[in-house]
Amino acid sequence: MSAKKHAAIFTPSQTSGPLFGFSLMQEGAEATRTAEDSDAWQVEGQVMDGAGVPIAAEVFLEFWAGTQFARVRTKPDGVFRVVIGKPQPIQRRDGRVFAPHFNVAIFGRGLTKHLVTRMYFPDETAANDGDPILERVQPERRHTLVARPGNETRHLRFDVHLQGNGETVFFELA
Amino acid sequence: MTTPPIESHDPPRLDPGYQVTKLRAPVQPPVGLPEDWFEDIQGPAFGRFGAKPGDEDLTAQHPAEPVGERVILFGRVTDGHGRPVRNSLIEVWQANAAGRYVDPVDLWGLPLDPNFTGAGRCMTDADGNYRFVTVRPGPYPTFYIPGQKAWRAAHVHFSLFGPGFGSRLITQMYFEGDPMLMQDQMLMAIPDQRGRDSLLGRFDAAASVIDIGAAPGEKNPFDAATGRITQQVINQSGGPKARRNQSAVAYRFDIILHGGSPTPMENRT
Repeated sequence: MSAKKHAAIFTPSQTSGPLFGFSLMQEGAEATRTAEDSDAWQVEGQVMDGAGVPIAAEVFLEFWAGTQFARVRTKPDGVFRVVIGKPQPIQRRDGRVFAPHFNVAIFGRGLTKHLVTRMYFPDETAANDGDPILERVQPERRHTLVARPGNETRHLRFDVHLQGNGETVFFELA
Repeated sequence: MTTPPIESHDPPRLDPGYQVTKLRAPVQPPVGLPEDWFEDIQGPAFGRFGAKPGDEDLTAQHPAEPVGERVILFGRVTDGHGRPVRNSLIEVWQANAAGRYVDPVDLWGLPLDPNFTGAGRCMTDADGNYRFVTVRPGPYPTFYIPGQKAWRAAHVHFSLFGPGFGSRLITQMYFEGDPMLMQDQMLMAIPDQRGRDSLLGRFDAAASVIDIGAAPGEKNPFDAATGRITQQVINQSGGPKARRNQSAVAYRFDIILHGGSPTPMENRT
């Protein structure tokens, strides 16, 4: 038998489907801080489809920064809520500095591969202006990556628009 | 060192055969980032999320055993450079042998198994290996497009973290030789046959467990000279005393994740 050599294959993605809740939604996963912690920020938002309708229960989000990791599913009213600590800026080897941010991954029914975006902080205007990733984004779409101030102190609103008007900027490894 | 390129064969985000993607697939092209731009994000600290011993055995989470074909799902996780992904969390979830999830969103009314939840966790070992014991999930009916009846082939959902944010993966493992594979729109959405084949667990005779014979303190139920069932067994009503039989059919599912830079690219300020 001739040994026909094929390139290796990165294991393909498949949707999480809608039935992940009983396995992935561990108690406490939606908070990396308690509300009393001095660096704690509450973030709430919705994930909107192309018709502008919030997706309830069928999607979940992960917030990553350093060792912080939070996972949250949208509730029946379509809203998710996490409590996270605001991270420090990160200096790259080339000297450029990433403004404080979370990497956000979105999974769910109808997403054959998870979507990757970032959430920046609205009170970090100067740092955001120098951020090398925001720099790569068309100026008129940058606002989709910056959370909006909420109604309370250290409270943010971060909505994700999967498509359509105000579609959130998503990233892909080149 | 020359590393052969590794191919990607993900399903398209917009899949006409999977109607709900129509309003969920982004229309704008993604902004491309070099892979090393994600290398500052190491895998999360799993303190709150780790697996404890026993979480990898989905057949041992209840007082009695679940119904179904007991299977071992095992394999090795490597990164884009062929190196093992060590000490990394894997989460799995699945339907029971009848094709029913315990999740309340499962709408189809197939029977629940009181002895099966269908959620498991484990950490890869120092060489990237993992191993779960479970039952083979049943296929189940579904709609990809409302009104158009279809099957989902038997599958187990896998969630992997790997060395960093760029290596995050959720996928599904299918079973080699399953006649339902061609019916499954989720799998068939991967355009390339080799891509689809890379999601198959492969039967592995050597890793399978055949566990027959006498329980401790009992005589062999078969006569060694003749092969007949012994009179002692025939005299017992119900056969040999019940014991947990470890027999299981093994399927090997190796996984290759993106990412895994050899050197850290950034330092925290």
